Amino acid sequence: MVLPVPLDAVTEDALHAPAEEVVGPVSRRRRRRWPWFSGTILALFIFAGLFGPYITPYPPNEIDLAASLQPPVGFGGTWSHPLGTDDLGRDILSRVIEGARVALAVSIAVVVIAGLVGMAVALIAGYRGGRLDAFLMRTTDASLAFPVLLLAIVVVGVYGPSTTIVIIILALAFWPSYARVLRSEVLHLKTMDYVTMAKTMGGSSRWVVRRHIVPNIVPTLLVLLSLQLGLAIIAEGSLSFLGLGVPPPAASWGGMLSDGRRHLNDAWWMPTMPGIALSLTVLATNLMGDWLRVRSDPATKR
Amino acid sequence: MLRFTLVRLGQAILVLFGVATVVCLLSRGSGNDAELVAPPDAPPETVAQIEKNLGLDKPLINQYFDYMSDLLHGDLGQSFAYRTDVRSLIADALPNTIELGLCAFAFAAVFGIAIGVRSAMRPGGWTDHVGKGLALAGQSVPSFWLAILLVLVFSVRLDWLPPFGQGGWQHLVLPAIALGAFSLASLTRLTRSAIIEVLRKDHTVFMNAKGVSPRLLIVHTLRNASLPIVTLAGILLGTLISASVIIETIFAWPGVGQLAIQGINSRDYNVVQGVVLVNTTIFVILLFIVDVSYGLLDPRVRRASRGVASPA
Repeated sequence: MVLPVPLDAVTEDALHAPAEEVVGPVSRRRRRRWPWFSGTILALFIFAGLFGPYITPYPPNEIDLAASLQPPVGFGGTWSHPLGTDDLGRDILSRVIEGARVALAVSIAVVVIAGLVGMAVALIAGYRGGRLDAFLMRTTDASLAFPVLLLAIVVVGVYGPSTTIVIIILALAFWPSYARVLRSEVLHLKTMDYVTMAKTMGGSSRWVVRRHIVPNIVPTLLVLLSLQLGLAIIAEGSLSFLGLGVPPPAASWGGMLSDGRRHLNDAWWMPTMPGIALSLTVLATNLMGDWLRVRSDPATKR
Repeated sequence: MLRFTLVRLGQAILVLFGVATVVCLLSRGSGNDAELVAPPDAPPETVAQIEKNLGLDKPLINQYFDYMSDLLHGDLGQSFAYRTDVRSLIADALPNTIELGLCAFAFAAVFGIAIGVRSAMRPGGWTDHVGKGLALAGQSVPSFWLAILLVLVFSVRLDWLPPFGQGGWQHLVLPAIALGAFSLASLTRLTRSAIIEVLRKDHTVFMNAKGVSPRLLIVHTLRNASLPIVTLAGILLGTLISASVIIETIFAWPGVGQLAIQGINSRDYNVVQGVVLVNTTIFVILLFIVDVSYGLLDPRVRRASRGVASPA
């Protein structure tokens, strides 16, 4: 797949990186502490995403040409528009909050759909094995080489931008990583004594998978979900930035950044505010993903 | 080894074929090309004539075979907007894209590997902390936002570098950094973890205990750790060349990515298809080379491809 980011390399690297080299009591305790920074930002992000319409000071698409291009507070602006306004006089704070809703909805939909598809493929391929496994894994490898961003360009060029298309395209890009990582997990679990025993006692495949395999791959799945959430947000932003994503006037962070490009000389806050929101959110999901990974790794847990 | 190469080659061809098919079917479902070519007020007979000239009146399956046979002959069709061959348009733009991609790659590879090696040699040292920060930032700041930030600071505020266009080396600095930053972060992380893994191996510990100089130790370690690094670098190079669309748009860099976006805006689908196919081909070929060279370098990979499912 060709996204601006090589997903698979990133995820696999993150999953297999040595958890913590300097293993001492101090570092271990520090690692296990609840990550306040990322936790707070993520909580804000989710809150803004869920309750956005109730907390925005202005309707995010309300145009007020009399108040256009007002700077943020601290740079000559007033508290009526804390983060300033854009060229159409829309309140940037309201639009950033609304952007959180778009980013949250798209990224969650993408990672959940991709995660379910990837998990299903991993379970079937890993548990059945044999030719089916070989076939599914070849398909997965081939999908990884599929140029998704370029495909997005064609699809959107033909059908026009829409949120559904963004979600489908990104889910197509994301599922192979889940399938690969989870399959190796399934292969490992299959050799466990309790699985052999469950099979020997006459448990049906379906029951063994549901009772013994699925619960054990859930931790890895959660780590993957959190690591990919950030990538999904970036990918959605990239598509929207190119005008291939969530169509305007919806306030997506990528689209706002793209609008702000025209005002680099006279209104630096137009691209900067959504940019900061975007990076902070992705940073927080990455930190949270790392934290979850370290926590779910039995080698560093004890 | 031969089997491994053939399997990979088959896969690469399959991907290319799949992309070509999807692109063809999508564009045929997109509405009438003839109406795009014809002047807006053309009478229906003219449109029908154009339709016939373009072969759009044939059944879909025939159109598909025509399209594929054109592709195999290297014919990417005509651009409606430029009224020229898509192939020559791409031939003009591709060198620019490759130039930018290679610069970004050089930036990412040199700094990424250097920082990664130093971080791994002294875990917990200041390079390690700087490297970790850079890696985290590089993976959290999307390229388009970084690009805008760089332009805001270095072009608008400081006026050191040009904000867009093509020219001397100054025009390459900002786009190359913006494009390469993510790769830099991934390479730093991977180099660091790969080298730390080798440093933990018995033979390295033994060499260290024997009193081998740190310089020589680095050489040996780097060679042993090079496999994953080379692989990732290859994938990244492919990604940088084939996914520079965003950066090209921001910096008005006259590459194929910009060509594609302009193609979308003017509904010039043949150009879009051409760019997609050429970029996919480049990416798939690079991936193929990486895969095969990986198999050459590491016998374990060859064995794993022999149909026997590897445990991990």
